[in-house]
Amino acid sequence: MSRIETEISEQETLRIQSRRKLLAGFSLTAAASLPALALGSMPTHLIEQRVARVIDRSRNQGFPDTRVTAHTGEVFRFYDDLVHDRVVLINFMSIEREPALPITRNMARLVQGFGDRVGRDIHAFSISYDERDTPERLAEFAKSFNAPAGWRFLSTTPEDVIALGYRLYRTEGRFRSAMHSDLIHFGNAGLGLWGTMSAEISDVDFAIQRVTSVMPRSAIAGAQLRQAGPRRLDADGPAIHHRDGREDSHRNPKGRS
Amino acid sequence: MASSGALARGAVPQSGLVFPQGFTPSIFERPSPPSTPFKDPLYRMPVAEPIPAASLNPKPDGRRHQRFYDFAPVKYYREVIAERRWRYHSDPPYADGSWSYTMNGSIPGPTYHAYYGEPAFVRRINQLPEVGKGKVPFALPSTTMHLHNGHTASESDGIPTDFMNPGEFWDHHYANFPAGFDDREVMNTLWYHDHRLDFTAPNVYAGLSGFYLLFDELDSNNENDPNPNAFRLPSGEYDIPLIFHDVQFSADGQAIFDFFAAGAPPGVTEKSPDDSSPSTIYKGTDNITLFGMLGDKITVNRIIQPFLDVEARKYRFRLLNGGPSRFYNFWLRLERADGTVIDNHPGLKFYIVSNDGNLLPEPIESENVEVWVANRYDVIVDFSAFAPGDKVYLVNRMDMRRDGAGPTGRLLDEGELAMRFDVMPAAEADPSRIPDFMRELPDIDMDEVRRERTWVFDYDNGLWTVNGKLMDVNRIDANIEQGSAEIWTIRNAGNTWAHPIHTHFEEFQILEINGRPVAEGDLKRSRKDIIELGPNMEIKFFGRWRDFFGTHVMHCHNVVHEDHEMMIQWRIVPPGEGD
Repeated sequence: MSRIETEISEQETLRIQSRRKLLAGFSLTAAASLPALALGSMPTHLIEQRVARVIDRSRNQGFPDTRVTAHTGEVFRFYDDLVHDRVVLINFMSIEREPALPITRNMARLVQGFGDRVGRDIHAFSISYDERDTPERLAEFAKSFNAPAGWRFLSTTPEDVIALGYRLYRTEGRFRSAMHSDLIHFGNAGLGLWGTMSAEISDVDFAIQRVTSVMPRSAIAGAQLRQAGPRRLDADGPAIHHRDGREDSHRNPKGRS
Repeated sequence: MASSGALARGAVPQSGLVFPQGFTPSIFERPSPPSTPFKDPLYRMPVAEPIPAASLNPKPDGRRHQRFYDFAPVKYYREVIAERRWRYHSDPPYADGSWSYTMNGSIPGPTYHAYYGEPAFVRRINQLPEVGKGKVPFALPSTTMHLHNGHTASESDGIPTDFMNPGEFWDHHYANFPAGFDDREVMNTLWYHDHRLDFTAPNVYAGLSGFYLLFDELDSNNENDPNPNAFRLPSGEYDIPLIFHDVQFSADGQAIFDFFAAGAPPGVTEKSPDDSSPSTIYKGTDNITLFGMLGDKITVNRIIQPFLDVEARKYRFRLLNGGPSRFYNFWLRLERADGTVIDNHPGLKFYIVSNDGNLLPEPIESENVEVWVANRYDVIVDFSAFAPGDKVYLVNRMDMRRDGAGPTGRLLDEGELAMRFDVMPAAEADPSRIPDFMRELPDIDMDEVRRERTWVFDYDNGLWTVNGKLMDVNRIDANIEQGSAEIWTIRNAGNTWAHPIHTHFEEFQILEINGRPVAEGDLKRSRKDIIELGPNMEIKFFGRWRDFFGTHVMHCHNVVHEDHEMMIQWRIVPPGEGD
């Protein structure tokens, strides 16, 4: 072990001990912040070192291949086992914060919208940033959303959560005091094609369409060029765009074939 | 300030880029392959060719467009969007071509020459390969093309949700009349680019941008115009659009866009935990593309560091920063045939004639011009001040934060050489002019103001927000009454970020910057469609919304911020229905 690694190891032991004491008196709101938990009493430069170790930048587009535990109790490598070549949905959450920041409720609407494609064509991951969200608690939480098998609630160490968070959208060591929303990440990891949307989903069909856009679809053999829009001014259609009403009739966004 | 040889040494580095000592580019870990600077000529985009209306099948349908018959098209175009190889440079590995999203086989796309009073109709056809079948892995083969900043009805504007997928087409109706039928609202340099919801940054980066120039009887595309009122700006061969994109390439010469870029430049300064900068805790990567995407190859019209033979006469260059995130601060530098480098020659200046595509009341002379993403500045450079054999460099001296989120505030000494002009003798006398006076500004009439609104752009814990919210396609953030004026305050709540804020559809005029009115003769005393919103800045503008109804957007034009939801939607509604 190098000097810095020894130092990290010692600090981790100290930190875990102090966390146990600290948690008892922690205010619930404060405890819910991702980095606040991870920061603990550990010096910043050591956190950096610790997090940097988690990330192997030379592969996976720099995606952290951390060890994560699912609400089922299964243990996975986050990238190799779960993401790798899949189409995925990823969000960060905490059971504690769900009433104030209902991101999992919105994930659930999205996941339900994909029906039986979840677990087959698309996989969903909700990563808890609250260390108190044990696999057992997460299993209960998942049950309350009737989560299908293809939607996994993951927990890992605070540093690994930070590594994942920083990789995806660089959350910083502050509370989301002013926020009432968050991001849901969607991507086709096999292609390296990634997008985000607000977790405040007001139109599930359109949200599904956004995610579906990174999924492969087969071209219709002999299909003619069709007009996507604008639709006729007197035609019915959603207020949010001018695409033609017949849109996606052949695209099967929800997987009914 | 002549320093013999200094530039000659710096001008042609093997890397093709000049960085001052101590500056580590964000692409430090995986720099693009080297390319010989100034080896390839500047690409001159073809002028878009109209086609017969009858060749469009199905034929254009006026029932799909507002005021179609008020502005019946007189010119028709077809633009096919497809994946092709594009040669950014003739050195290997670039010589084999980089897979790109092209328009009629070209990037940038063809340059439209449109005229006020001649409405145009453009059918855009998406022939990109389906997801997973293409050679540009990072871009989405679904696109919506925005005409920035056309006075265009919502359904033809190319808003983010109006996308077309492979095998589909979209019809765009460009009415080509000045807002409010006010001749003072005539624009001249517009551009078109992808605006796809969630994927604008990678799609524009992959190639989807081009110029749309508008002419009228004063800015008439004719430097020999006999009309005594015509401006007679340099035209034809001497009117050259230049679009800047910075691109990063892989070892095999393919453009790469890192969504979660690797790259941990050494020596990042540590900051205290109460520093609001996001690099406080974890410094494993300094180039998360949620902040911005910086490339290490400056391309001009999608050629890496090109050269252009110029005659010793006046030229009109239409400078456009196509993004995704880098800002530029352009200066000129002279290298004599004997290698002497001169930075302060009197000919090394720009006559800036427009701001964001709008001719100014009067040209402004300047040694430099700062071009944020989506800014357009038309400048005249007079090469008659130089001798044949002289070389004039366009130098970018803007120092960007390594994470792409904005400038550092420092001016680079040497800078990066974006392109080179090789001065040749003039073929004949130069008939072009730099006019003393151009377009007057439209009146600002406070009696028209129906209400004021404030928009706060901020960064909160990994999220780019406007008024504390992320973009929601189902939320209309402002209902503006047609024909009314409003005063908008645009505030940056961040103390390190810079945001080029763009609102669609009509130009505005800035009233105040940080509480101070814009002085007469200031470059910002102009019609504009981009706000250069620096850290902690607050800008107040007066705007009008006329002639059409429907939904448009305002967003940060660092397109990486835009894709991560830094956008609002506003809608023009009938009088009496506003909020």
